[in-house]
Amino acid sequence: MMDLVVPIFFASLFTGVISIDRAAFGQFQLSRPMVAAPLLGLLMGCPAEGVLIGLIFELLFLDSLPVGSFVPLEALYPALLSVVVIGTGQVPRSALPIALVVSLPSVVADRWADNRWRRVNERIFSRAEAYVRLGRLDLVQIQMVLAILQAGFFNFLAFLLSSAVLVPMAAVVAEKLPALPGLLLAAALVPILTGLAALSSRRLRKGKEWIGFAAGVFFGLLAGLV
Amino acid sequence: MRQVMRLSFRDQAAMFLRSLAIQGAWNYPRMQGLGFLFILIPWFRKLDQSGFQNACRRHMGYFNTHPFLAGYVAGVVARMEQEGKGRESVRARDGLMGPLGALGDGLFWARVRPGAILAGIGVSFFWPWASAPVFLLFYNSIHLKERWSGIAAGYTREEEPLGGLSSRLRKIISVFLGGLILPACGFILAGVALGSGAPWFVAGLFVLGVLLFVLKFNNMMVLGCLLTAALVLGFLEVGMRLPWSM
Repeated sequence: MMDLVVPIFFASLFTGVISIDRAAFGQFQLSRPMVAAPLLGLLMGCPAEGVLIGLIFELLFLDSLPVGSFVPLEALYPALLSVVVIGTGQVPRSALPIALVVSLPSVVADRWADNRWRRVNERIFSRAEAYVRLGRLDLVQIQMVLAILQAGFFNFLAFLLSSAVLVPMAAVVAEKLPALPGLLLAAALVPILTGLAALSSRRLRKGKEWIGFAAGVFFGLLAGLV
Repeated sequence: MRQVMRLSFRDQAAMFLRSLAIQGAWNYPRMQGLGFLFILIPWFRKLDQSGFQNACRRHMGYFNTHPFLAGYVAGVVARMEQEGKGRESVRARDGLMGPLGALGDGLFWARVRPGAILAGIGVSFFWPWASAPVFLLFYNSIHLKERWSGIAAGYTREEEPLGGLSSRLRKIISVFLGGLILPACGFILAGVALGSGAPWFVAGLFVLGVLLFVLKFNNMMVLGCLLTAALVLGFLEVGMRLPWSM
């Protein structure tokens, strides 16, 4: 158990830093699972699994769009947590789908961190408003930097707590679950299909769009068969 | 009316860098309010002391638009404040943020991002390692261009707000990229189905997923249903594999 402390702490730091990109600063999309999971995988010695995990979670949450002031569920936590589970050897690499399924509840911690940050920002805004009235613009800018750093802090904390629960749990699940090869692979394919179905279902309702979809399937089959 | 200052490269760079933090203090009552003021502070410092104070007070309030297009609104406000049209600048800001928010959501979240993700995933079937660089390059080339040029466009074309955004790029994205999302989904589905070694199993689950979404199930419910179906059918499927070989 003690050998998990350092990798979990390190992965939480990584999550804290990279999650700043999600909303607080930049939005270069470094926090997308497709980018963040391979990066963490590289640091934890499982880059190939990192790429795979990133692609699967990216597809699952493909349809999560932050329209207006709506904050959708994001795949950053489950993706990084899966990398930690594999990287620390809690689950053998061949049983990667177990890591995917066990790490899914971490979206709750992600939501908590995001909500907490936005609530704390209300206080920061009130303070900044008072500083504007006093003409202290230097302090307003400090409040802004503080808010950005807090985004990282809340994500660090939430990831640390969710990892402390879910990473050891993955080992227990892997131990108890009977080895069924078809079952494991089906569990890995489902997130991919869910994301594709979500994105397609919204557009396929328009009649003509079927043609584009069918053309894509045709060329995909052609590329795969050739 | 005061003489209008030229927006120098340095001014634009300062506003651009700060615009990256537009959502840095996002909160429920005022949303991007503090971030918007944060973009404008270096520009407001060029105004005289009372103008500076008043401008800061005017623009410390509610603001919410698409983060990538906030630079455009900031450009418009910077120009108007500099011309001494403080009150009108508040009306312009409030009038622009709604339409630009809707435009940006449709353009960036519904088209550019899924398009870039699908491009990255499409590439991953041939070179898995290239997926993230392709996605980042594709996405950020459009994202950063729009952020950078939006500030100058807002500052120089105050009278025709939406003409200031690179309209040709917008048209290309809307028609070309929007139209490519479904073919890309089809391409990836075919790749996954063939790569899995159990194409009918994958196609069946996909059709079930689409049907559940049409019946208004949400993502997690569909995931649960498909997982259950896959677990039941998974007993029958031996020799399946993931489509990506590393």
